[in-house]
Amino acid sequence: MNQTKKYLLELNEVELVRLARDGDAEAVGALYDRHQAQIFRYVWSRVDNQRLAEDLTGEIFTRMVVNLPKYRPSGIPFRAWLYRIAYNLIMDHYRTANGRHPLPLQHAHNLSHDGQNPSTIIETQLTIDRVRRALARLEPAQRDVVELRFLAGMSLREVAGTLDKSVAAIKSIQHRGLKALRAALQQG
Amino acid sequence: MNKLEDLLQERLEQLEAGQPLAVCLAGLPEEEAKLLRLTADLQALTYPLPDRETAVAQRASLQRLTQSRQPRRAPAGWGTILADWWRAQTTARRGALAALAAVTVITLVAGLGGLFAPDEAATPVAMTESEPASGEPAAPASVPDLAEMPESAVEPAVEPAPVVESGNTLFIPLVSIPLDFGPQKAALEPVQGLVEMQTTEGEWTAVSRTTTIAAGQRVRTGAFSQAALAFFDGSRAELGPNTELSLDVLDAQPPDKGFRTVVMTQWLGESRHDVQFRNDSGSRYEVKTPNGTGVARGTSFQVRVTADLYAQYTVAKGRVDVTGLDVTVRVTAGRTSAIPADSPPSRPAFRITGEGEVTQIGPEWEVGGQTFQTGDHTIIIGNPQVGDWVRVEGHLQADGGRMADFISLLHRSPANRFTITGPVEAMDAAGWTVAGQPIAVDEATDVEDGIVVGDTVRVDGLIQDDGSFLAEQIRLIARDDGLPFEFTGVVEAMAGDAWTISGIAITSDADTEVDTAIVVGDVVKVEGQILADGVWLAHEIKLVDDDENEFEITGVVETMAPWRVAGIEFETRDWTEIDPDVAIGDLVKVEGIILADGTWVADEIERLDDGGVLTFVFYGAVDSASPWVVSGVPLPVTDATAVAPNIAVGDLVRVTVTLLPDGTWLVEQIELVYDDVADQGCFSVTAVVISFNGGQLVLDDWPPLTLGDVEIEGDVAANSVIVINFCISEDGAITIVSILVLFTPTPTLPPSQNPGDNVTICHKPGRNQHTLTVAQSALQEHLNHGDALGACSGGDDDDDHGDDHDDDHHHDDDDDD
Repeated sequence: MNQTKKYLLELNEVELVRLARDGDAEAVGALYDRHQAQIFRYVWSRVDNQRLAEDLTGEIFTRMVVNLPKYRPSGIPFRAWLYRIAYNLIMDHYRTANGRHPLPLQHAHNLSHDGQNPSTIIETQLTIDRVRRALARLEPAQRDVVELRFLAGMSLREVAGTLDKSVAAIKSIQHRGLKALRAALQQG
Repeated sequence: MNKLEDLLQERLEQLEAGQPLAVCLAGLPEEEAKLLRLTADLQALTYPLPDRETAVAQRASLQRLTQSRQPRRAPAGWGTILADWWRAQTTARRGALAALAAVTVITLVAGLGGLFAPDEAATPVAMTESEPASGEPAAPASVPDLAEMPESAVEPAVEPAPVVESGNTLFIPLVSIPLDFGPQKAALEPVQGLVEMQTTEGEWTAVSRTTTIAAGQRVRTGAFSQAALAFFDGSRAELGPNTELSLDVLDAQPPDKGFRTVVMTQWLGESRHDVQFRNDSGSRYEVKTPNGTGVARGTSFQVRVTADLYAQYTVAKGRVDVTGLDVTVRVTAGRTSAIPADSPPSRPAFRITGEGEVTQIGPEWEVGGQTFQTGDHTIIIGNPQVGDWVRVEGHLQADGGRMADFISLLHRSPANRFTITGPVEAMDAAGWTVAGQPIAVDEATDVEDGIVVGDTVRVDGLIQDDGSFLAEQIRLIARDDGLPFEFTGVVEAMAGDAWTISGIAITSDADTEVDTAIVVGDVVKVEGQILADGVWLAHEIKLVDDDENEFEITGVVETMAPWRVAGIEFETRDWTEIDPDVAIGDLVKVEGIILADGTWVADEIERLDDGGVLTFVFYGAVDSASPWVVSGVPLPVTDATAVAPNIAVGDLVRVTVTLLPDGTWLVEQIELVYDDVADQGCFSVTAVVISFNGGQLVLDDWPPLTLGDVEIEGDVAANSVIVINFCISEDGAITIVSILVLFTPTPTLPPSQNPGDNVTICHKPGRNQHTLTVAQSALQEHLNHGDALGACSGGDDDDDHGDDHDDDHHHDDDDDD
């Protein structure tokens, strides 16, 4: 899906964000290419619905475009800022959505993975499912940190920026969160 | 915070850096080893991926949204015209409309600005006189001033509309059809943004979900908004941003129930229509504009009405008969016709679309090596400059020239640009000095309000021909108004604005946010800045849990044994991370924990300043590599400079420079961005073939083209109408990418006929067929739309009194010429 123009690949994130903030549509596309998969993964871990996760991912990037003029590079890192949007949107979603969002059959193929045999797929799905159930049992702060660190792939500092906490606090919550996750997984 | 947390984090970082798990596990306590394994497992899991098609659609949608939100500057000529036109408005009502319209013409490209690429047969056209359009449309309804509109109208929260893009066609699915949908009721779907419908009482109400609309009603869209109208016979209209349209007559019967009658008036904006083909003479689908009317056959077309009542009909498929001032022109696929105010429709012209690098701007633009004239009605989006990449849509004029209808910035050229971040040392109207570099500013420079000398700013701009720097944008990055601090402590005293928290004297002011429930003894988190006079000014003091006892302060290292920063004394432990080169006098950030006994223990001491070293980067074309000159700027390259291999003159490079304290430059790095081999632009043009022989293709008003290994869809022959896709390189060479034959005329005519003789044809062969005798000159046009030579077999269908029987009134292009 990566359609990023060659010259944009050479730019670092700060330069890319600046171009995007200036209305460069190609730069926006490049930012989408860079972050879309991990943002989707993060959202998906929260909503347990492929289609809804896709919709919310789209909305997160729409908010990114709308709010880019307000973003200041001197503030939190861009990725942390983007995840803050994602986090807020998910919270909004839970505040407003009461019902469940069934997964249509036509989306089922997205849960499969090319190159894997069926038993691996089942095993993987089971593990992902277990992880997600276990994450749901964590304290909110621990869940936030673990998901941002290990599903979204953020650094400690980026998580701190996203959650507006100090690095020391995140380090501490990370430790406790991993312990709690491990315990939850053992409980099944 | 404890040592184990630190240890785990250290190993996590090793793991994330690619170290083998076994190495990272070495020496870890058993519990932490299990946690590390767990994180490795988490990261190794295969997670679902978003649907590829959805992702592609989302990406395209974001790019359209970005372009639609871009600040737009009209060129001087266009602005003058708007201003003149504005002054010509004499009533408040029209003034209000003008405000909205003025924005429309500048923002129109977004959203539905995707354009029709010629993809269907284009036939020679005829100009003729016809009956005037029935019933002049009433004046547009009053539109509120943009400034009075709700915020959502100007900058709506954009819903993730289920938009799927395919080529140049935007499909916007209709989510649901209400129950009262029928031939006399169209379904109105608010696709995005603000969509309003006028009630029978004349009030405008927002439409939040699919509803129905009947004849006599109006619909309008706000900025960045879209709507769709679905008719009962399957025809469909899509409304772009800032569009107003009224339904005049509506009886969209399906084919088996009767005739379809859909008549609407578009007052402003842009609409796109997909009209179901009807093989009957009584059906009609008309889009009126203030200057004329377009009557569609089964077809796909676009209508645009600008603020100065300039209407344009562009046909993607089929044909539209456009009438104004009693003159009708037939617009076929790949062509466009405009109706200026008080003028008849223009002769249909072939479309030309493409994108390329701008090499000249002004009355004439050169894009991708092609010259385009611009006129009063050319819309220019995004203030493109030489070197930028733009999309152009236009048409071929009778004299062979190319007129741009609109030009839209796709992306800025990275060449000849610079970025520098540093303190403002001087500033006046002519120029600034930032980090020792003189930087020119002009009236177009976008400067953030409130910047003063001493602030740290980011400057983006252009390197001019003489090597000097011209700022395009200056943004405030930081202000030296104190060093930040944050810590958690116990409130020991509070009296008015004076606080003592864990032994620190804190001052609050009117702007400080304070939890009202705080009492002495509470554990609070306090954030603020240490001012130049040493006062700790709190921005926020809030209650926290007892177990949150961290601190973070920024300040100058006063002593290191014991450690003292910003007047705070703290301890270190063996796990404390200390930047190795920290010295007394350095600016540092300290993070740590406050123990129960009040001791401050640092987890991390990070050096913030870097000795005042500033760097900046710029992009430019290599003028010379010995000595190094980029975009006219001489570069003092040394052995320490990292220069990418194989850089040649003309290549685009990225240069990283360190500004030394004495003002000289140290060139750190020269990187290749891309080779100087890119095409200058690519275009699609609809054209008529004069001849095609032995690989030599001659087009009307084009130099002969030699076709190499080119993909050709269809049979090329003389008089074929083709779409030719080609690219132009820097040296002006044309490379033909592909050719699509839209239409090839029947090669032979009846031998017994002389050019002036009449010919017998079967008009509309099939159920409504009819034998006609037409002039030889009109034959080709009939054949083009499916008629056959000779009388109809099986006799005529008496029901046919087709609306095409104005054939004898039409003339071929040749006749008009």
